[in-house]
Amino acid sequence: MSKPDPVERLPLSLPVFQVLLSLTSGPMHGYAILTDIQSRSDTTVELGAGTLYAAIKRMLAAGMVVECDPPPDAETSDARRRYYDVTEHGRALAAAEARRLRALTSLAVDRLDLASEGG
Amino acid sequence: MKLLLLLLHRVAFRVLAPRDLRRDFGPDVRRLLRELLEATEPHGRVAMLRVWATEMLELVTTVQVLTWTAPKYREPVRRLIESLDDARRDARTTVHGLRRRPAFTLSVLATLCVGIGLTAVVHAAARVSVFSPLPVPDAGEVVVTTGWVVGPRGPIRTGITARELRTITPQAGGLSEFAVFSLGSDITLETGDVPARARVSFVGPDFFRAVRAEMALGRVLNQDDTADDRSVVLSHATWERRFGSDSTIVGRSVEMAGFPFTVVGVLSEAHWGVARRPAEFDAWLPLSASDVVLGPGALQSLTQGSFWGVGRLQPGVTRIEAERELRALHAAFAESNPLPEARSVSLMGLREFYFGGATGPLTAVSIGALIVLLISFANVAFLVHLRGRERKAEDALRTALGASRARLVRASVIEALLLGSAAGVFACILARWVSLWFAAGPGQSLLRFRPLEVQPEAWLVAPALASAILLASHVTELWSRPASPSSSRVTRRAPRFAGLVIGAEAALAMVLAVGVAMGARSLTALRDVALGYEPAGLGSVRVNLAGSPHEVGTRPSTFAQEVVDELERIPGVSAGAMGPDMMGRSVTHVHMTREGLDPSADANIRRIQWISLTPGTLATLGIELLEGRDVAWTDAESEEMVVILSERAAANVWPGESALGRRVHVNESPHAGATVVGIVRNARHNSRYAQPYLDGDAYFALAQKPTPRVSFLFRQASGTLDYTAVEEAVHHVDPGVALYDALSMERRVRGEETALRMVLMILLAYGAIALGLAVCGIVSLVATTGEDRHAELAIRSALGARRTQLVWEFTRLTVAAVGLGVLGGALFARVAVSRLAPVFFGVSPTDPTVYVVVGATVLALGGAAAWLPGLHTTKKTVSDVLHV
Repeated sequence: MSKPDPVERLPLSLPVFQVLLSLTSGPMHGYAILTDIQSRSDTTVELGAGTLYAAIKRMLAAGMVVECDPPPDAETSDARRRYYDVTEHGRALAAAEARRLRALTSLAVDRLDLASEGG
Repeated sequence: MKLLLLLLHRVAFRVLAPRDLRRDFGPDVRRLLRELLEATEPHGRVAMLRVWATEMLELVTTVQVLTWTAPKYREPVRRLIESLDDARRDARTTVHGLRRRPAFTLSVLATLCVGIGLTAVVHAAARVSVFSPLPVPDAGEVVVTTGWVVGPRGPIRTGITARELRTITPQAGGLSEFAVFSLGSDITLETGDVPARARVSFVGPDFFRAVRAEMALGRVLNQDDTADDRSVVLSHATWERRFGSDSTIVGRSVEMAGFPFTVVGVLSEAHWGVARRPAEFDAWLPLSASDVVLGPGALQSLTQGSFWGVGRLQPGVTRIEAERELRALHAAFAESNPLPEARSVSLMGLREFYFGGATGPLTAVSIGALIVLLISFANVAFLVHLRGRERKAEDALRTALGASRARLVRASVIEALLLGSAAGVFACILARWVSLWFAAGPGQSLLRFRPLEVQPEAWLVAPALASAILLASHVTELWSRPASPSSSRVTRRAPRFAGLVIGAEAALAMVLAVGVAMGARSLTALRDVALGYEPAGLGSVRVNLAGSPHEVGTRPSTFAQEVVDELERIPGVSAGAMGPDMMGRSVTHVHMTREGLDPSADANIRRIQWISLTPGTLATLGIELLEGRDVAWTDAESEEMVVILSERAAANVWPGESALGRRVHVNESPHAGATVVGIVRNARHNSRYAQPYLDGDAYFALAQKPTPRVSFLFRQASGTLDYTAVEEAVHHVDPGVALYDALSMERRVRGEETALRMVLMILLAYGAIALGLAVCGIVSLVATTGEDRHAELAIRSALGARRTQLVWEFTRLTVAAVGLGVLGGALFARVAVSRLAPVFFGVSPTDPTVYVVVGATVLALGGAAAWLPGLHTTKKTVSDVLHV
């Protein structure tokens, strides 16, 4: 059975998209994902523990992420942590969502005449 | 704090998170939250709380959204949303349908509103009398000892003499902390320039301990308070009203009945002793002070019961056991100390003491409310059944277009919920309005001046009850429909129990109608009782001379003469007098025996009401002198006591003989006698309850037989009665005399009808509602039956059947049901009316005239309600039926 077209699953919810972005850097556990999201967004995006794992659960069911073994460089104190990695399908979805957001942003900039503002 | 936050989150996660999320990721969520809290801990508690609060908020919002928007839940959620959407459309259609049928809608709303609303009021009244907290701690173990005298109309509650109480109560092992208290005396209280009346109770030393009195200020009366100490405890209301809540009142001297008393305490606001309403007593004085205030031996009569007792049941002793013991002790006492009348003692619980008098009217109201409620339910069922018949074509079409039975049921459920909720809310509004009016007006004494409040939960219960009734009616109606939608003509059967319901409605309406008829006859009988004097233009002001300088010896006569002269100087006043306390509830009587007979023999004793008055009082009242003379001012100088007897008293003491000039013994003493100097027409000085109990009236000269409780009477030829001028006239003679309760005689006489009028009004209202609802039910049923058969009837009419014969054929069962209901109702009414016998006057509960007339009326109304729609149904011709 072929994987569904990523465009059909768009738009992705904010928690799902943020988790996928974090996992594109490599396998991570839950706390690492949260801190990565916070630092990347300069704390403007904060996810709770329940939200994170509800999103991970959906993503596991949808085949966007998989649970994996801890990477070789993981600390020994991280033995109980569960690590997750993005799948190809998940990566494709993240890319599709990014393209959608880019197109949306471009339209907004044109319509609102924000090109001269920069930033 | 971290542990507490984690624990709270764990509980919330368990409740709010879906099970599979909890199962698969619960430990991870908890660990992650702990790490987040540990990371923010160095930044302070506020930062930790912020992280925790964000987590909790997301648990309610984002987690739910993420879960329920998952693909596997999309279909169920979509179906749920579709159902809600359908329900919203059904609700809109239902509202539209109800608006197009205002008769049905308003009928159902009004019926349920009246039935449930009145029930809510009755429930609120019952809560006051049955469940409201009593102002005495541990009230369940408190009992009140009263006396009972067997009168011609049955037992009459009365006080107990001091001698009886002193003898029997120390021996009563079932009671503890027993104390006596007097029934209430009116004295003068000086609080400033204007003397005021105060109602006081004289209490034994353990009284306040028995009732666990709580004090706002000072202390209670106790065994150390002797007659010389003259201590007094004030009620909270008196302290506020008369002394301005003066916090330094304890230790101050106040003048009561002309004597200085020291205030030793003020009772708390929530505690009003053993009284039947909060403001009954203004103050409590030691028992020993009664000799000072009221005169030596004033409350020590061997025959007149002036006291009741209050005590607490010993642990393990029931009220019935304690009462049995007390009665045995009293019987033993009566054997060795013969009493002039058959008297017994009884114990009653405190709640019965407070609300006992309300039992009859509350019973009537409860019965009425129940009847109206049952009839309301039955009529709503009929109306819904009729409504179903109207919808049969519409429902058949909807079914043919694919609507399921569940869809039809849902529409009925929505209609039931909408109508029921509206009816319940209106019922609560009606109940609140009725309860406010009742508590402020006719129900004041019934509820002992407590507020009547519809409980907040009624706003939920009433709509739920109304919705449930409508739902049951709809379900019953739907149940009776055939399951197959393919029938070209959907038929309806009349409710199987229609005849039974009609009969029950007729029976219940009969009960109320009999009550109404009894009440109306009582009112007529009461008004027919001759007063014996003309109340129009007669005014009275009450005064209590107890403790005043005018009380003893000849002084009342001198004072009275001066006051009467002042009264007759008032412009417009044609006559003034000082005489009896008119239309009061209490009765003072003497035992009278004609000279020559043994005054101690019970068979020779006649109970005669004692009335003291001044010369001219009889003329002022308009009581006709039949023989002899009036009392005179000069009688004060005579050694021989004179008395004027009413014609009834004369006939009872000297049956068949003239009483004029004869001598009588008064109060068992062969030395205390009086000569009859006059005979007057019978007159009524007291409420109707006391009148049959006595053998007549005896009028004594005030100077010879003084009494502190009298009234100033004056007759004014025209215009409004001028009480201000009367007060000025009295105070011109003595400014220290306290006057109270100024009222015209007409209003006093009308006032005793209040209880009866209230019961009659309630029964009339309920009766009218019950009859109206019953008639509606009968009309509905006959119209339904007729519509079912109108084709058949039209054809038979065309074939020559007489119209009256056709109408009789399909209404005879209804009429028969009404007839049986009337018979059953008559039996039930006999029982119900006998419970209300103390309220009715001059009418027997088994008077056949009432039952026959009322029964015929209900039967006629029911018959007309059946016959008229039947006539209307048989008007249709064959061409109407065939639509030609």
